[in-house]
Amino acid sequence: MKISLTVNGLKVEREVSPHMTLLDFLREDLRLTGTKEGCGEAECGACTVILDETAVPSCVVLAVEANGKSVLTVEGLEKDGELDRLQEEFIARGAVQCGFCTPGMLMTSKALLMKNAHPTEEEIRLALSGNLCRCTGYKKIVEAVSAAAAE
Amino acid sequence: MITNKQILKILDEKQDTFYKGKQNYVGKYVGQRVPRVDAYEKVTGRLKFGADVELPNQLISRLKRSTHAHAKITRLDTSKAEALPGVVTVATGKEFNGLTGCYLNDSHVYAIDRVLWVGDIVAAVAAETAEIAEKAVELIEIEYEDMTPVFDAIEAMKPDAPLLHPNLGSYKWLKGFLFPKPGTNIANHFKLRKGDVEKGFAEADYIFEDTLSVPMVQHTPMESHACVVQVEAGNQVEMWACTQGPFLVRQMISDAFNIPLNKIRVHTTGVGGGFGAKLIAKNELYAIPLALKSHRPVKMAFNRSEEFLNTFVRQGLIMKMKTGVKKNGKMVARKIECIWDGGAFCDYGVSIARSGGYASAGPYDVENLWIDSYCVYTNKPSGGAYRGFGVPEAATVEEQQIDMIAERLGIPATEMRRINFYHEGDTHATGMKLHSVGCEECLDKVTTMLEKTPLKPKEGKLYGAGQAHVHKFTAHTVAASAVLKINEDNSILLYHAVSEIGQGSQTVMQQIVSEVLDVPIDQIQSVKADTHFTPYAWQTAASKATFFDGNACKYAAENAKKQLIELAAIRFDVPQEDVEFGGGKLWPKGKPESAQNFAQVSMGGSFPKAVFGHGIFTVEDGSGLDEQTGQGNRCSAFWMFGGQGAEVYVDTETGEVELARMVACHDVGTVINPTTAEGQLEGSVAQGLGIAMFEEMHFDEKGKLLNDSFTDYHLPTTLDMPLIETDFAVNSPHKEGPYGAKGMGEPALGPTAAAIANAVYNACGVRLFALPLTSERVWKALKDKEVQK
Amino acid sequence: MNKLSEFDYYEPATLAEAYDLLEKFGTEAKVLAGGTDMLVMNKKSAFAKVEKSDCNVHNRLIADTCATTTEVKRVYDLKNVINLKKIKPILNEIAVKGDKLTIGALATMTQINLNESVKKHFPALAAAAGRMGSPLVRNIATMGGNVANSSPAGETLFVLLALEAKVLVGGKAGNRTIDINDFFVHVGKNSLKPGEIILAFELESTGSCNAYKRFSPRHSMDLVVVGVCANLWMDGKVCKKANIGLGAVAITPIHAVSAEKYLVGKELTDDVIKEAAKLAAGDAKPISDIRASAEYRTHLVEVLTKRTIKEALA
Repeated sequence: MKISLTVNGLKVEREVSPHMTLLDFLREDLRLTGTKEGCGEAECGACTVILDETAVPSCVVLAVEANGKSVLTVEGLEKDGELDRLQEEFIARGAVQCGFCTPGMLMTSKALLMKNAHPTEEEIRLALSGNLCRCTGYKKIVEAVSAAAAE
Repeated sequence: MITNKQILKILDEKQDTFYKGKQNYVGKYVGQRVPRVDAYEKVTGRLKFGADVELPNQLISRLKRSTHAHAKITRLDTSKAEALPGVVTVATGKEFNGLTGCYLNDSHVYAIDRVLWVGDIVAAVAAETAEIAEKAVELIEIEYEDMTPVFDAIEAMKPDAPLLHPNLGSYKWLKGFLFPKPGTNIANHFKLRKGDVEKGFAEADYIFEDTLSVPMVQHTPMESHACVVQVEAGNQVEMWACTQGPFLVRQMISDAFNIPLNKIRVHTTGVGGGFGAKLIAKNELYAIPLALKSHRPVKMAFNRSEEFLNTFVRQGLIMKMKTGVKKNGKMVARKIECIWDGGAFCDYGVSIARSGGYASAGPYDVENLWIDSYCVYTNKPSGGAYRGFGVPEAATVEEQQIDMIAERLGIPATEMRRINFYHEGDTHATGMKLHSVGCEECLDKVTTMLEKTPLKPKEGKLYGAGQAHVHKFTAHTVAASAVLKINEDNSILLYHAVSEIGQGSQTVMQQIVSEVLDVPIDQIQSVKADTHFTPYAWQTAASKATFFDGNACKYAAENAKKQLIELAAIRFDVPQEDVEFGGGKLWPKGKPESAQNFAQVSMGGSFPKAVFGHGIFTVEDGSGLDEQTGQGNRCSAFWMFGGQGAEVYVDTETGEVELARMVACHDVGTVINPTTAEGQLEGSVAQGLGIAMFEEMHFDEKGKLLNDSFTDYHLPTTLDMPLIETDFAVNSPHKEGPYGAKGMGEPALGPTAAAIANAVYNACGVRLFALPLTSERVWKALKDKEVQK
Repeated sequence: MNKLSEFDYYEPATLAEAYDLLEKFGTEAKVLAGGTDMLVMNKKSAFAKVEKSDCNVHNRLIADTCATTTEVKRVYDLKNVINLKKIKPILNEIAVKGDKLTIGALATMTQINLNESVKKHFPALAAAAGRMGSPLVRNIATMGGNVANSSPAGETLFVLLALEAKVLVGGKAGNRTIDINDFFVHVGKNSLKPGEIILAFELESTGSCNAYKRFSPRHSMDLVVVGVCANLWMDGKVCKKANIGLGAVAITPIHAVSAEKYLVGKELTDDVIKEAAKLAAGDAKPISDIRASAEYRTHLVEVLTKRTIKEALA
């Protein structure tokens, strides 16, 4: 099926098989490997992307479902050499260790801040409760999101 | 790209709150909250991890795995799979039957004539697409003849137990380091005999015997193993792998396929968490036969089930402790038996049985010790290195026994620990003299943090706090080397084999080099390890990187500095003592206006000379351990100490344990980067919480793993986390560590589960034989206690 | 993780088109709502080999005229996937008309959790919708999918039972309403006829108070180990009517019938609530699995029923 969508602000048109997930489409067809597969069954959040302003687990979304929509991945956060506030705070506050969960964390946080510009710590934790991290214990990630929201 | 404004603000805010006492070393770069040098590529998603690597013309692979725990393969027919259009090649154990391993070569690549656990690999398929490879796997036909399996380590030690490795005697192993028992399922029997235990027990006022255990758990790094392998002309095997040990991977491949080391090239990609799971060759081994046969690049990216079953797990442990104490709590004798549930391959597990064994008596000076530590084969996935290397497992038992004994004696557990702790200069259980011993300072700080708790009583719940303290060894005589090149534009390339697995090593190495050369961190670019040109270093394991590789990098920087001074002396025509060095420049004494940078000093002028600094570090007086006594001069380059305190609320109606607060203080010698050091402690709390409360590998009666996915293998989420407070000891820098530093990645996990278990006991009087402390088990134990009343 | 089966995909623009496709493909059709159950089940499905003997094939190289081919099929297969989300009007509307609240089958868990009317009148449902899975899954998972999947542990199922929901169903033969009590038949089985799809759920606000609780090891994700929803009609301190829905303790979500009967006409003192909770535990018929033993589940029913009733009254 032919799909036409916007990915990180750029128009994309491709022929895809309906059984291809959005995750595989991004990683394999578009070579945007920033979005990761951690489990393949929507239990870890590593595959989070923003689909029309909503954070979704792309490993259980079909690529064809993104037809006519806009997708934002971690590669789309930096604009014209300027990092997103979230990215800056993640760097500054030690919220990045191995980096594998980081794209998912950033996208979920971005979607949160798009809807709620000043979330409480509780709201941040709730929003991130589907993104697993084995390295950080989450503390510095929550602090970074808080700091990014503060300004 | 990073706005310095925010970073400087945070450095100002946090520096004061972090250092509560005097500091060992706070330099220009070392001791500072330097933002991680690898963070930019991670927050932009640009860093390539194993599964992100793509080579033109690559094939996708899938594995055919055994559904039987212990069986002969009586028929293996891959013909239908091979005939499927799009399948390029299929490989089996008959063709690739070399054995390999880390310390003991007991591991097959694919099952040769027998399968040893449910999940053992019988064949591998490489095809044009994943869909075709998946179909092909299903077309492989296998018939098994079941053999009796054994799933329990104690059962496996019995004389009539089924033998998993009848050829154990013919395997290659590191002699003098391991003592396998051919004819049994004992892959290693480590012994430690110090003093006279029986005399000690005779002198004791009380003797207590307790046995506790921990089950098998899995590392679950967020990134599962992935690699791409290709075979170049001339049979050179080249791969990109997310590994913690490129040189060990290379060695294991060499052993498995009989290829010389200089024809194997391992590139390290980004590593999405290791925790020990990525130390040895696993998926690389399984992919190479496909690359050899197809002559095309082959990608092998594990799914989550394969990550559980085909990499490493953490061995289960049953530990029996017999401790003799005086009335005041001083321990006079300890007899310990550790039985490690090693799984089907124990090539790395044997080492855990060894060092986990010699550390099992805890950070306590006990005159008389008798320790037997067995690594035992069972028909389960292979146990191996997991953060802590036996210390968290043993501490879960040992630190609970300390609390149990203290309660029986009627003294506070903190007092009993204090009375028994090691001190600077004491002789360790293994016979080495201890230097840099921070356990008491850690105990003081943890106790203070617990006393200052903000937590209040909760209605309907029981509150309890508990502590645990550990010591952890590192490696002894392993090599680390580093090379540093100064480029023509004054930028620097740094080569060392430490894998950045999230612990922050890349940044720490650069901080050390920056400190020596007095150049900004971003003047240095680290190069990811490539076994063809990165100088050799032992794995990124054992919390050794800061000390061993840090020293190697320090020596390399000092070596470069020495060369630069020599060159500058010639260039400035002054004696070397009159060459000043600072701020990335050199100048003749009294003439700062003539300063030149490194590139100018070395490459400028009429006789340019490329400077590259090189450093090699190992511990010269490191030693092994005697086979009978487990004593040696220096079996570990240093010991790290640390303790944690847990505060819990127990819901007595449901048995639910809420971990409300966790405090930690560790002795790492010197903290090189406070942010990454805190991050290690905070992360270990999450991992320890998972192990203490949720994580367990459930096997059915046929040895099948029932929870090989995140649906039923539970990792803590943001909503399960407690308040966390961290601190570090400042009074025990190590005289041989770079700027006094030791290490911390592993001891961070050591005390966590034990502290939680002790807190739960203090809250509601329940102590379980085994982790995890699930609500159902706690509830059942509470019920049984009620009945007993 | 395995790739999905290679299936044919349809995006009907109207319900009529959807019904036609369902009739055409019969048992080889699956409807796609959120996909969080269906796609995962397909990825994780076991395989089965199907040997086919095709005696019409003549192969010159083989003397026999029968050729056997081995086809590999997934046990949970996807052959014809019909995406319902392009049907206009979109079936995700949450509408209030007087005392009746209609929730479209394709309303996501997030939508339901945030909807003011749901929060006000059916806080138990808002809470359940806000706890199922993870925030990411909730953004795409639908209540229609949750109910159609008919897992005894379905997060919203035992809540809808206690809230006396009506299931509005549509098919080629026309629309009908199924009472929630008649909807669930067995594990994974419900009373939808072939070719029917759930269109919406109807809830009626009748002045009851309701609350929901669920037990699982973690505070996010995890399948329900035991779930309880209490829906009570009170006259002062006396209970006029009670619905207690239980999840994950039987082959379908069930009513704690003895507890419900017991509560009617009684003043809900602590002792009465305790007794009701005991009775509810007796109504549960849980199994033992790696998540919990039957004994523990039964005990949790008692504890959670007590707590849920108290919360409903608060």
